[in-house]
Amino acid sequence: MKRRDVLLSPLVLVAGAAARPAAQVFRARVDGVRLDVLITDGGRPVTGLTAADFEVRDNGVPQQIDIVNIGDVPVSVVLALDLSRSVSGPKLAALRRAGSSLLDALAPTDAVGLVSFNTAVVAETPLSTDLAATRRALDASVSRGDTALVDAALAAMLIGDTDAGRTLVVIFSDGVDTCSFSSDAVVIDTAKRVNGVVYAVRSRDAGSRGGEVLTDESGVSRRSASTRFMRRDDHEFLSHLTAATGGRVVDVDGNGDPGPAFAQILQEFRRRYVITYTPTGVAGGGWHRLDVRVARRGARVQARTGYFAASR
Amino acid sequence: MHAAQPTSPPTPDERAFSRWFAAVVDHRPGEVDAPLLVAAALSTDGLRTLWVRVQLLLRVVDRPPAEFERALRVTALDGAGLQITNATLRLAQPVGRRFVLEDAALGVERIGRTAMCRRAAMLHTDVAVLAAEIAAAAGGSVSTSAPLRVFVGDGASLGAENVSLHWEFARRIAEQILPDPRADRFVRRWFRATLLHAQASESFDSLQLRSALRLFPDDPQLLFVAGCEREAFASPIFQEFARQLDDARMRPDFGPADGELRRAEAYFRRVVDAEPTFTEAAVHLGRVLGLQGEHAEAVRLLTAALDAGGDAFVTYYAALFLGAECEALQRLGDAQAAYERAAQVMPRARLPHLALAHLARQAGERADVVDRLKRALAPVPDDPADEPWYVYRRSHARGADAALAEARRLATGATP
Repeated sequence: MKRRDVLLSPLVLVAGAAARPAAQVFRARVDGVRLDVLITDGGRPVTGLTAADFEVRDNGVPQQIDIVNIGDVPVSVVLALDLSRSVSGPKLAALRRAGSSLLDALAPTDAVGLVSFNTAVVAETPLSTDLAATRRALDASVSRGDTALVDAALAAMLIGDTDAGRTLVVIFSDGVDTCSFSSDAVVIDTAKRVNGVVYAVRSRDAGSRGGEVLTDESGVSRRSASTRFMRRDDHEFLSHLTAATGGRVVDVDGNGDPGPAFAQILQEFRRRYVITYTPTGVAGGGWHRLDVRVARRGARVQARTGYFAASR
Repeated sequence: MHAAQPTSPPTPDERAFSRWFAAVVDHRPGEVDAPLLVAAALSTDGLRTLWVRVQLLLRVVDRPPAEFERALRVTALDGAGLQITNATLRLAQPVGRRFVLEDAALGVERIGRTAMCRRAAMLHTDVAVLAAEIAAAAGGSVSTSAPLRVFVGDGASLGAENVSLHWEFARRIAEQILPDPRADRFVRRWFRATLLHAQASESFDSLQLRSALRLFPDDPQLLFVAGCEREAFASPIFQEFARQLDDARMRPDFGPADGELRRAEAYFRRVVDAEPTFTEAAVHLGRVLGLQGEHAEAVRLLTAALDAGGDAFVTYYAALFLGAECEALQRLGDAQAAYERAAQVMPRARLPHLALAHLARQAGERADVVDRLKRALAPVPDDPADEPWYVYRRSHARGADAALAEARRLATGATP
């Protein structure tokens, strides 16, 4: 593997993406940056904004926004589902139904890929518009083994990143990582580099939360210690992971139906603005801190915190 | 020594003892034979009564008492702290009657005291090790009970069962070997073999390990096993389980991860210091150092271990962990080389390709990412060689069968 000497940005635009062919993709590489931005007011997505309403600063330097889109671009969804031993019986049935409902909500031009994880991480179906294949894989899913959540998050993001379209990664887990090889740091670092927005659906039994949730000013949360044995804090991991991509963690009841959470995430993702700009006035390489603002009082902006670019 | 004439028929306990002694002599280690089934059929109470008789037997063998002293001596043993007053008194009672113990003592004289202890230890080890086969042969389960063993999976309890009391029985007999069990090759090998056997199924018996280290505090193999145990206890699967126990106000036999990693490190350091060519210990030391943030020293150790060579598993782990440590130091070229080495050693392994996929992403090589992901995320393998990481916590015990065979050979071999 040799290092490619190009400007690496989160943007690889797809020509004609609105009419995605099933097997053939034409790509045009553009040295630009694409951002998925969610604007909410009182928890509800805000629509109807234009480029003039946004301000994007790249390493503190204001940028000229080229395009703002919302809702009219096909999406690629990577579903990463926890199929460890603890997700069995009614939980597994509910998870299958939730996955199936999400597939129902996709358009024919949308793509989906299924990643399952327990001790191992497996790409059950590749990213494609063949939704039926993913539905069959969902129906055939069985639970066993431990929970390689961190490895799965890495794999799902990398799979999503191989697709040039708008990528949504949805990770579902009901437990604590017990067997990943990858480190949290590596995976969160990868989250800063890949295209796509990561959401996590975290299913928890009420009695097993392992401490009080503390949230800092940036919205990243962690849990306080409730015992001398510290929980491997996957809430903190998922919180950092999703925040790095502009996504978030959705907590659901352990015995409940994750379906509404899946539906909410897809709906929210479709209402995100896609902003593109060509960086000007900033050095090429390294970490670029992003600051996105919107000219609307009381609005909350949710976007990735930055991106990595390779040196020219 | 001459046996006294019997004045009354033996009691059921005495008959059980006689059958047990015959089983000790006749059992062929490693086989599910009739003598093994005799030992396996002993109840928990039967084993406890038997243990008293074995202790008395060994005392009789060590200092054959005159006939008239016998009752006093046996009674004195009871007074010395054996907690089976009634049973001991029953043994002491029939002065002038033929003692079953005495017959057994004659038997011990024939095969030798050390051989008897070794054989007895192996007999009860086989009861524990071959429990499934014995249950099949006996048409039911083997009735033993003692400390509780909890099965842990995905960070939670999957149930519990009693640990076979035969383990403890075997250990106590092995520790009775004279003049000093520490000088006996069988005892050392037996501890190594039984600990490896247990850890091969991720069963961590701290009591057995403490006994082993009490006798052999500087044995590199046992120190290595101790380090692996602590390293396993530091893993998320055990820590999460312990946290749940802690919530329930119960205490596992280990502490929080940072302390367990330090303990593992201390054991592994002692091994590597005593035996610098113990490559597998160096690999484990490198890993626990890396987990504690000592990346530079981890890289040094793992690089040396990789250069030193070993079997495919050791080489794989060295390369895989080296890759992660180099990444932590941002030495991405070295990380890539290490992961590629791991993939080369275990061609069907998955994790090196996942790591290489994310390195490829960092380098902007998207085609390489796709290729690596295909190999990293293929359908689940069943063979440990397909992804050794999944069996890391028990991989160090992959020589357990050979170690057990060696212990069995020594159990019936000539006394050193």
